[in-house]
Amino acid sequence: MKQKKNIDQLFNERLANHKQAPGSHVWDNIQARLEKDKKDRVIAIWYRVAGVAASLVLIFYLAGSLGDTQSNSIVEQQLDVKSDSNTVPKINKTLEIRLPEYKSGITSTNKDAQNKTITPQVKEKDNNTPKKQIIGLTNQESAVAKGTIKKDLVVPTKNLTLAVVKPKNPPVVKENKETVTSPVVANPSSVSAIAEIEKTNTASAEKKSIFDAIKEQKQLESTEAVAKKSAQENLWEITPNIAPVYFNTLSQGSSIDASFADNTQKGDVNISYGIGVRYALSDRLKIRSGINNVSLSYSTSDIELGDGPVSAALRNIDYNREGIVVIAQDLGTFASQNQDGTFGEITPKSTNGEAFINQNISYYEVPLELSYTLFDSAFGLDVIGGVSTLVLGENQVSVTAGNYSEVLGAANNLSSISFASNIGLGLHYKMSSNLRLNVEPMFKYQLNPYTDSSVSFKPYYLGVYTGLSFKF
Amino acid sequence: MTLNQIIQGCKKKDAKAQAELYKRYSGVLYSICLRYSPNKVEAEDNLQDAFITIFNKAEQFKEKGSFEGWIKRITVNTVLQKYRKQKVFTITDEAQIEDTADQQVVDNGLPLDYLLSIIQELPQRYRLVFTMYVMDGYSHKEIGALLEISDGTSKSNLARARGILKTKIDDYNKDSL
Repeated sequence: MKQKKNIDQLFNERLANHKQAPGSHVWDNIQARLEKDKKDRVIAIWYRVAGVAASLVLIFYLAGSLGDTQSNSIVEQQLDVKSDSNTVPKINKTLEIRLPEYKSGITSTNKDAQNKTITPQVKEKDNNTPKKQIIGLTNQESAVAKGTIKKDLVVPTKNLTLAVVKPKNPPVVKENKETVTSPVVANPSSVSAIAEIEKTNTASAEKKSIFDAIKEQKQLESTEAVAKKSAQENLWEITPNIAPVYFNTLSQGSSIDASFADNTQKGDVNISYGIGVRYALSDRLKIRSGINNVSLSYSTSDIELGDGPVSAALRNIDYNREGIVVIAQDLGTFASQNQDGTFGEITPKSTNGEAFINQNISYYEVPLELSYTLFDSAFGLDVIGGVSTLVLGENQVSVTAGNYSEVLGAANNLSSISFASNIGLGLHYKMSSNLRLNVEPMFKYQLNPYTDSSVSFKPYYLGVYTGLSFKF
Repeated sequence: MTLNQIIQGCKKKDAKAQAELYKRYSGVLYSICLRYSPNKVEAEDNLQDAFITIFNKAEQFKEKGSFEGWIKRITVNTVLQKYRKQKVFTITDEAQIEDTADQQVVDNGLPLDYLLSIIQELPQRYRLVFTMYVMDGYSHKEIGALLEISDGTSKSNLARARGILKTKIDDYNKDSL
């Protein structure tokens, strides 16, 4: 059956409706990849959720503490206004607002102070002046008694002011005892008088004690400020650190070119170093930031090297020059490109040893993390989570083979600013009250390292950040 | 399972529907991969990639056009994406392009495997241009846009591909005489 045919027609007729079953391993591979993609998606989602959750906690915490500061300042403002006015009830109100604000230690002192301000006349008389002795008072002596009582009333309030600052001051009571007990010994008829004196003096004492209360508050404010100042010490920490970092990917694929997806690829160990600051939001919670320089590198093998025109080279590399350059391709590519003499124009390089294409990247990393202390004694343990902003620094693609090495150019598919979500553990050892040794294994998953969303390379890096932290 | 059930199932990433889709279309799509790839092994790799893309993008199918047409386009695009990255350098003088459209060859029952193998042996871009133009009905303009080459280069590549194929078929016929 000899038949002359147009060449297009021949291929069209014979191949247009052609079907051929692929090997059964193809479906097995597809299923395996679908399964892996599913797992990767779950992992990727988990990392994103972790990062977002940490950021949300941070935002809520910051928003919360900002809200607190605002309400504090409002109360303080009210306090200032009311302290200025001289009317008693207003001052009392101020006291009511003021009290809950004090930190636990100070509140108790203040309460003591208040109790003493209002009750000393009654209390001290009950305790220190036996009724028998009061009954035995003479008329003459009652005048003395009046005087002493007045004096007595002045004394405790004065002393009370002191008592606020030094609440455990025992001489206050002793002094009262002496002044009250000795003259009040015998005046049986003046019980009512004393009662009257008590009433009036209590009232005047109350007034006085309120003015004193203002003084107290002023003093308290200053003591509180001192207390705050001392508490504020050591909230900040500075942490120079260094870490070996290992760069790899959670998925298959190549960051350099899709044709390298099935090649042997290897992440390398590099260095990250920098300085961090931490601020203690509470005993257990710290917010952390800082700046680190992170170097990452990754090598791909099963490649071949040749000299050829820029236009025949990998697209994702900017050579920044024209003419003949070193070209790296997947092993076997040159053969198919060079079948026709005019086609490829790539001259394979004769090099010794296995050829590698290496990608070197460095980032300036600014983390924003929260750490929560699980326990804290000589040794402590924190959990750490947060996000990092990565600003691209060095970006270089090079090739090596035996003794030969050459820089090709820069990868043009890297985002200049990208993000990573971070999770890790912080182990620390207290060397002194202000000095700590930290060892922090961290996992950082890069969220958007490539400008080209089709790159299926999902890079992450692992680092063990070691350093000292100084509290100040 | 009807085609519609398969499509709906694939949109929901249902494993059964995916298996059924593969069963129904792997033969056709593998044939496409065979003529776009340099050998069987790469054709199988490309078929895998194409199916993964189809499964991942199933929910984007608008159900307006033909489903078979859609998955064929995805397959061709997947292969092109891989091979067009390897740019090659050519200078084409359009005036020198000879018209090879009416080149005749003798077909005395040329085996299909042989026809496939000579397409696969073509240099990368000749093979892509020839297959796209002759078998999948792309115009030179479309080919130029997809492969990022000029219309003239596409025409020249096609002419050269035809020339190589004709020589090989002629040789084959001579040998089998």
